Amino acid sequence: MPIKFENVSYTYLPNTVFKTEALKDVNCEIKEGSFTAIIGHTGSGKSTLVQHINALLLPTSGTVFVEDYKIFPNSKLKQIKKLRSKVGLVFQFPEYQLFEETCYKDIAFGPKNFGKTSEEIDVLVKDAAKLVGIDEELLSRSPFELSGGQRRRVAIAGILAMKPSVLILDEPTAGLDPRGAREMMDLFSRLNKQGITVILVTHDMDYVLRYSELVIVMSEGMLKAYDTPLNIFKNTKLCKELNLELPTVFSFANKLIEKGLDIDLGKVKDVKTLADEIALNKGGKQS
Amino acid sequence: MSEMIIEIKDLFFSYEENDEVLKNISLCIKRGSYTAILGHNGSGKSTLAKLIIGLLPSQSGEIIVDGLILNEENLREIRSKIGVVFQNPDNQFIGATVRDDIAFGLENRCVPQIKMDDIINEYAKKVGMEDYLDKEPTLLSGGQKQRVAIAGVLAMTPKIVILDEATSMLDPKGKKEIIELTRKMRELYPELTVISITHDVEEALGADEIIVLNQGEIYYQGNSNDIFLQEEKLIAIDLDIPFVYKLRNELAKHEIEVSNCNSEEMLVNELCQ
Repeated sequence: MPIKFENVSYTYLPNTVFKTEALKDVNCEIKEGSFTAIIGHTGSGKSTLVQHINALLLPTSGTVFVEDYKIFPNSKLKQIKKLRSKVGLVFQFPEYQLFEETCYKDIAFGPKNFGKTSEEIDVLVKDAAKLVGIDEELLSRSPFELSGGQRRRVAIAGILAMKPSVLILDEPTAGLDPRGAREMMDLFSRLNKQGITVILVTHDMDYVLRYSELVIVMSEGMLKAYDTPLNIFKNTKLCKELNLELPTVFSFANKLIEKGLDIDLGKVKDVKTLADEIALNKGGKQS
Repeated sequence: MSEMIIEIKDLFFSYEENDEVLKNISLCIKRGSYTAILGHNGSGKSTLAKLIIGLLPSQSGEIIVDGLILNEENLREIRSKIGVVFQNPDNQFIGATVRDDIAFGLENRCVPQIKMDDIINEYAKKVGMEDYLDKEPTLLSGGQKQRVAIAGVLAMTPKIVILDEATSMLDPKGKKEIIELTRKMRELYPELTVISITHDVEEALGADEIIVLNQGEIYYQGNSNDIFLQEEKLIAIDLDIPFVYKLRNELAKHEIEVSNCNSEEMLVNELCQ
């Protein structure tokens, strides 16, 4: 399901003194089945941008195209309601949105609202729970008896149970321990390989480098760059201008380059490839 | 005065019967040290903090804080020695403004108004929030709110500061601010004992002593260099090792020896000699 933004602007509280232009003339296209990261500082418009994809916000001007749906300033909810089952949006700290008596009911909430039968719901709930690694026996428990990490999984299962073809994630790993975070990211990567379009809003540049194919850089409501992670992080001028964090391996490699080592940033992807590049300089053993 | 500010002996705790969250914990924390308690989500580390400040009653075992055995009678006195910064910046900001928030603890201690203003200004300055005194919490970032929480804690002149996952809900910038502030806090108050409860190994890197918890038991206790050399042992319990140690391991495969470097800065210098 391709996503296209055409001259999209969004203003919060128009015609008041609190008027804020959160998006200014954004144009871009996100390919079906891609893994795209959206980065930028707090207040740069990242969240406003993604909330347009499932029509939680309607553009003040411009049009958003998602598959056959056209979202424009005067769109009627009736016309786009179905879109919401196709675009799953996972907010930051989604576990705070759990509210049902049992995990099962919480995961079932979405499919139920979209009119699935109870047999269908049962399959969807159990599949989604399995995907996120929640044991079936936990489904009858209250979500509030679970640990924070498990609650996060239940919340995400609630979105996956709607079988979305686009998955939007806002800082999905914040607060998780290293293994929890890795498992979560691997899950999204797996879903992406099965064909789901994944859009990741994050401050964690290590994830951006490791998982995303393309990166959208937002600043002050404008789309500043749209490129591969490598091209973005190699662009020292852009990163300085927007005060972007760099992935750990890049920021370390830059320090080495400043001090005279010859490192090809294009080859640095993780700690291993960084070590390979350093070894070329230091005459270390080649593997 | 004992060299140890916290001594814990044979501590057990369970929320539900037959489900022990802490098992036979015995440990000591040195006065003026920076100790990191590392563990994955659910390893029992926050429970341990709650027991130390008496938010939870221990079921068996003994906790001694600054020479006092933790019990009903000593509870108030022990709490006056400990300041805690919790995980969620929004749950612990209670004042309507930064000034009110820092004032909260002081008011409870009946500090006179005239003195209070000076104290608030002094501590706001120490955490770099002096320009925000009249700002509301909604206008602050997560990192700024945590800095205010730290100011409020320091203003009470505690002997021990516990940071309970204080950075885990922050973005990388906020995280850096708090780690930097922790370092500064230790320089300003060399007598202060800082305990950081975390699953972030980068945060634990600068600690004098590291205690690793796994499934309610002490898995390891020692200095950071020794523990971070054991990658497999940490990964086996859902933790990780800091970037510097990962790179060292990879470099070792190329027979590049940098074993004396335990910070990024040292590693850069060594590699660029």
